Amino acid sequence: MEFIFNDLFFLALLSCIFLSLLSSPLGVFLTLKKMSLMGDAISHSLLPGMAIALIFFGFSSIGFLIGGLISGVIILILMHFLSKKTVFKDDGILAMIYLVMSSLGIIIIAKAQIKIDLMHLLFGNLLLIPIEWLWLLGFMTLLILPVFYSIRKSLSLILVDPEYSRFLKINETKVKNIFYFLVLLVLILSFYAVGTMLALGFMVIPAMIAKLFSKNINQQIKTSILISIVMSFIGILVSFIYNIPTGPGIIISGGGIFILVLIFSTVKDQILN
Amino acid sequence: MAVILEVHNLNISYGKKKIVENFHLKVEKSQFVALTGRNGSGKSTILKSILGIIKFQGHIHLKTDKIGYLPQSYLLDRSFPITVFEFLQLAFAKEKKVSYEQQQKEITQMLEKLKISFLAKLFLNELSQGQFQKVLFARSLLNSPELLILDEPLSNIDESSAVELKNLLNDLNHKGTGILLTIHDSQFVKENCNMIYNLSSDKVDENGIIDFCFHPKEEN
Repeated sequence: MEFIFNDLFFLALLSCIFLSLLSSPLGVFLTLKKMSLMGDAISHSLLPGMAIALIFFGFSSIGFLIGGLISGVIILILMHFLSKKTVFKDDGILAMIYLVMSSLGIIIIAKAQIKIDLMHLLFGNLLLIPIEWLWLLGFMTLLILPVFYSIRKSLSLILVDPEYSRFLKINETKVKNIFYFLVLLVLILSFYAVGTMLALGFMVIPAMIAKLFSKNINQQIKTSILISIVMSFIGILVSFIYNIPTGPGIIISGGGIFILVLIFSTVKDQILN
Repeated sequence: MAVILEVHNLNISYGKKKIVENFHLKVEKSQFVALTGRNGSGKSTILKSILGIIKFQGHIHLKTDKIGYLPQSYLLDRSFPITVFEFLQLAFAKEKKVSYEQQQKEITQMLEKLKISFLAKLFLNELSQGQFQKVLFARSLLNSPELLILDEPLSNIDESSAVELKNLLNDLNHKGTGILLTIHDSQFVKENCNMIYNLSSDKVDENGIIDFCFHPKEEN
């Protein structure tokens, strides 16, 4: 077990702690109003941007950040346009974007014949995390959380009582766009940990587990952070011991915790009733 | 008596469909005004245009910015996981001048005033419809409004809750708050309102224009 004290393990866990702090508040809101498909569409939209960044800049942190941002912002604008200007329902549009962007990303990688393990791009590899990405994670945590907490009340009111939020002259489009942009940033930052395919896992799985523990939204956020750190620790540990990819290891750990908690809470409810 | 709300030539359309045509309304301080009419006649639409929630053509002059609003309760998502106290805090989402401590104090006092302090820690989906309506009512009173705009405040609630809310409305009105509400309870309208605007009116004035305005004794 001496690897627990090794630098690689520590850096991987530290990056997951930053991601847990960032992803949990957003994840709890994302799962509240069935918006997780939105997160899914954003996360898959990152693949073409990151693949193009890889062609031009190689395995560069700044390249991934810029590529993901450009790709994600284009998709946010496209989703906004399609949802406002066409008759299609939001979930249909999101599913289409999700499928098209994933395919486009794979085609770009295949055609460019980049010498990279596609697995790293799709499912992440915490063991490749550069130190500058950790600095970026720390810096972005200080930036993203205050912005989120500044729109949190307005976002809550829009979700619980849209009519009253319009009466208070809260700009619904602006608040929602800020929220989705924060989701986009955090999904980009999750890239090294879980890749573009599993990026949403850090947001959704701990938030879903937290809902089984607590009814209150504040409590759900705190619980989600804790669960996210625990699932990361278990995932990284398992990946070190059994030599499996860390991203899927973390997500599977989250899935395992979810099933255990679900069984426990169901049995507890049965006994109490 | 000072006029706090005036509406002239109000026209509202959804696409090509006209919902409200040439509507006029006036609310004075301490006046209790009811908007009545069939479902779909445009009562809620008029309230929303007054509040600036929807687009309209015509003139609306609000002479106070201290307005309280109670929307129809079915529009709210009560599954949202917050307590009554947290829900009331959201009313200050855009408020920069009132400190956090002041907000807490105002909410606590309002809950005490309406005798619903015991609801503060309950979640929205744990409340009965009557209790929820009282919470919405508490929110509408948080900024000590001079004009209260209430959309169906008495619908879907039990008799005893309705009586309590009616008494509260009368009490506020006697203390000088102007009230404009949509309502189906004709008995309540006759007994309490100073003026009625019936959107299903077939009364036509000498110029052939529909007259929406009635005094309670005229209204059937």
